[in-house]
Amino acid sequence: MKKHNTQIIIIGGGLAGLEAAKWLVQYHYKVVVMEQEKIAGGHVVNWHSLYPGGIRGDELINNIFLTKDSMVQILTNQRVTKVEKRDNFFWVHTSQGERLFAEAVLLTTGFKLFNAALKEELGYGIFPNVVTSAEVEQILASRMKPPWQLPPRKVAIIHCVGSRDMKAGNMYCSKVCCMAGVKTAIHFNQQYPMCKVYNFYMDLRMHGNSYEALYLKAQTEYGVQFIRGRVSELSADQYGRLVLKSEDTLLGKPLKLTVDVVVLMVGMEQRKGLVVSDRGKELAAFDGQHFYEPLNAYDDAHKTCLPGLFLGGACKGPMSATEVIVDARAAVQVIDQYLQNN
Amino acid sequence: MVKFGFSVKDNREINLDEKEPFVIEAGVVDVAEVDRCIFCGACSAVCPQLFSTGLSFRKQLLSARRGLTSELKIAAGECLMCNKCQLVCPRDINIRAIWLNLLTSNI
Amino acid sequence: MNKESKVWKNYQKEIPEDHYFYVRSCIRQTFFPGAEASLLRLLRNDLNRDVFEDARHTCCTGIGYHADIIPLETIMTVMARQFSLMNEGGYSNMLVSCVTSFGLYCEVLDMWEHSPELEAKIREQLFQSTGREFDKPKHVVHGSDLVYRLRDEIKRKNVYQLINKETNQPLRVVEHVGCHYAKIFPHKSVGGAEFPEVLSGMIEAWGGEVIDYPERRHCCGFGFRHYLLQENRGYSIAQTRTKLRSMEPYQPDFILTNCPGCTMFLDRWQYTLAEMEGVTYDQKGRGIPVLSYEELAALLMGFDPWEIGLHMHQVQVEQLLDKIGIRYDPDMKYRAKNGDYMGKPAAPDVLIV
Repeated sequence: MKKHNTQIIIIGGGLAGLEAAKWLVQYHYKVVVMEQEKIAGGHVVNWHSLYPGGIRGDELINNIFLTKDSMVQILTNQRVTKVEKRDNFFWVHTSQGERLFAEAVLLTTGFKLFNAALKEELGYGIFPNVVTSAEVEQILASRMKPPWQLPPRKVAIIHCVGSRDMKAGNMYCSKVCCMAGVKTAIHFNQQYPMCKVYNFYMDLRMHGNSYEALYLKAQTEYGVQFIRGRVSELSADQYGRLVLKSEDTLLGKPLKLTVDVVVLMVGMEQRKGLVVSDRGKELAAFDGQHFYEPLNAYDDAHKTCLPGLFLGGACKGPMSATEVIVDARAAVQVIDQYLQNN
Repeated sequence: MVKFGFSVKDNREINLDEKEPFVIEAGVVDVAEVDRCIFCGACSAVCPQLFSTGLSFRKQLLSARRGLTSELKIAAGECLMCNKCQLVCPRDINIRAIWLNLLTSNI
Repeated sequence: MNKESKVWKNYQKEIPEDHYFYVRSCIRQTFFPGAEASLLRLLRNDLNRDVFEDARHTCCTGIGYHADIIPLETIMTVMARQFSLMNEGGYSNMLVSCVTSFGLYCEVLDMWEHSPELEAKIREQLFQSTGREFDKPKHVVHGSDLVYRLRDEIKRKNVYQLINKETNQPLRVVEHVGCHYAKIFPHKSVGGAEFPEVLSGMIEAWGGEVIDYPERRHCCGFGFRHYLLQENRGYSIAQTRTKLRSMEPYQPDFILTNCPGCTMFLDRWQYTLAEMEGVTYDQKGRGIPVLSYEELAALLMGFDPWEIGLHMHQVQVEQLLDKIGIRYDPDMKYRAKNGDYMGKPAAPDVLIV
């Protein structure tokens, strides 16, 4: 059978890449996962818990490893700089100057987090107790030391940082932050029972089964206060606490609140730095200015303009972990179909 | 005293540091019930008094959440007790009962 | 606060060291004339800088523009004339005394960049009305930018430091940066609009401690139409009160500003608030002294407080002079240069002077 010698390269060893690799080896392909970090697992491995069920991020990644076949080869510390299409195969170039052969390439490069320091008014990088949602996940998972000494009594969670923001250059909703914000509010209450949490939101997009129920739980069981309005100024008072300025837009009044900790729900952005070329010509669609566009959003959601190059996971746009898993599995089926017919 | 011909304008700010969210006493109102409110305005849209007095349960409850309760009792007196609000509330809050209880309570 | 953050490094502007054409500030001239005089004296005599002034230069019309009584094209033509005077003097760097003028020069230049046809029209108008032509300035620099740039040089010449003589601790200083300095064009400022560095850099260089207070970025309340009409002044003073209330718990030794209007309002409204509400925002009932950056630089370099016009301030500055240990003659406070007694202003009811 031809399959065993057919090499597929997956670029990005996060949730999407590992999930796809797991299934492709079950179809008896030879799979190489290229990961630029020291270990595979992507963003998810640092996550304290993933909604809706609350599974730990590293547990989810480990579940994939447990069932993985020895046919998956994971190369870490390998940054891919260029994917080069030749007649009906690919050369995948790494920053070490190596070149790998592939018959099909799956991009699962995922996303990078919005640099919260760009929203200067929110004081990230200036006030130590202003942390990003990604940092809070690590703090709650005890992977990172919290910047606060005493248990916080008041916490503000600010939604949509770097999302739905024309000036930040991100005209889209990052989709997961609404739920993650509600989830984080609950986790703060669980970890610090005396804590009062305020969520500042523009809209709450509870777009899935059981999501609205979690929102209701945050309101009724944990007394989380939801304030509709964007925080537009943050400063410190004489005790080092953080003073927020916002408008309660449902009342049309300015609002001031002093808290111990501010969590910024940072959005997702496309990664830059990967070049895709077709017979020497660089393709503008992969310049990293926007999320990668598949052929269409319906029945060709994994194919690209380059036959043999496929997309999976959050490199196509913001996705939750559950969506990434579904998307990665669907990509496997499309890749198999392509290689069978090729 | 000097007459300046103007006076300092009031500060409209809601200071959540000084004002704790108003807790409606248990017994008067089911606290968990009002916590469910998502401030969608369905109740006030069908309130006959919104058209005449501007009565809005959404606004009054939200104000109370921010510690602003001065208009609460007057608002309760404006309610016609028609119960249309409860019919449309997506979070099933018995608004009429809350107004009634507020009327007879000593807040 | 972490000053190593990238936010500060994103906002650095090029500030030439020397050779400036200077344009004055109307408010500064009227209310704190000594401040302007001390900047020129400091730059020319003490720091040996070349600062040129043309007696024919005029008001930028910024106050009239923001109060909606001067049309945009008029202000552009007036500014074009200032540029022409600058060219005539052989200069290409503008040193602007007033923050609103500074913001407007930047704004007009920006508008011309986006609409060259507007610039052409103004050139035509200026030529028809005055026969003048002009080149645009290479650098538009606010007075505080230049003093910030020269802060270390000034420090070397300082006679005094921002240290409390009795406790030997740094003085606690709150700063207020004028809105039009950085909020219109953050990239034309030092440090940006959210965490401006221009005044805090001076305070730290000269030995003081910068106090970050929650309403640091709040407008002083001038608001042009809001101050200029008496019945609107309640809005103006409400903003100043917000600021003063916010800084009060930190017990600052003084307020440092870079804008003529802000200096005026933070100083004068303390008297008005004291009369209206019976409050002052310090513990002794004397108010919080307000200094502009030139006044501070001049004081630390050993200028006489009365020569630089500090008796023109509503909140009396002696409490601050004593803390720093600046020597002054109380008898000279209300005497003119020739020694004639000028008369003493009436004392207010509440604010202790």
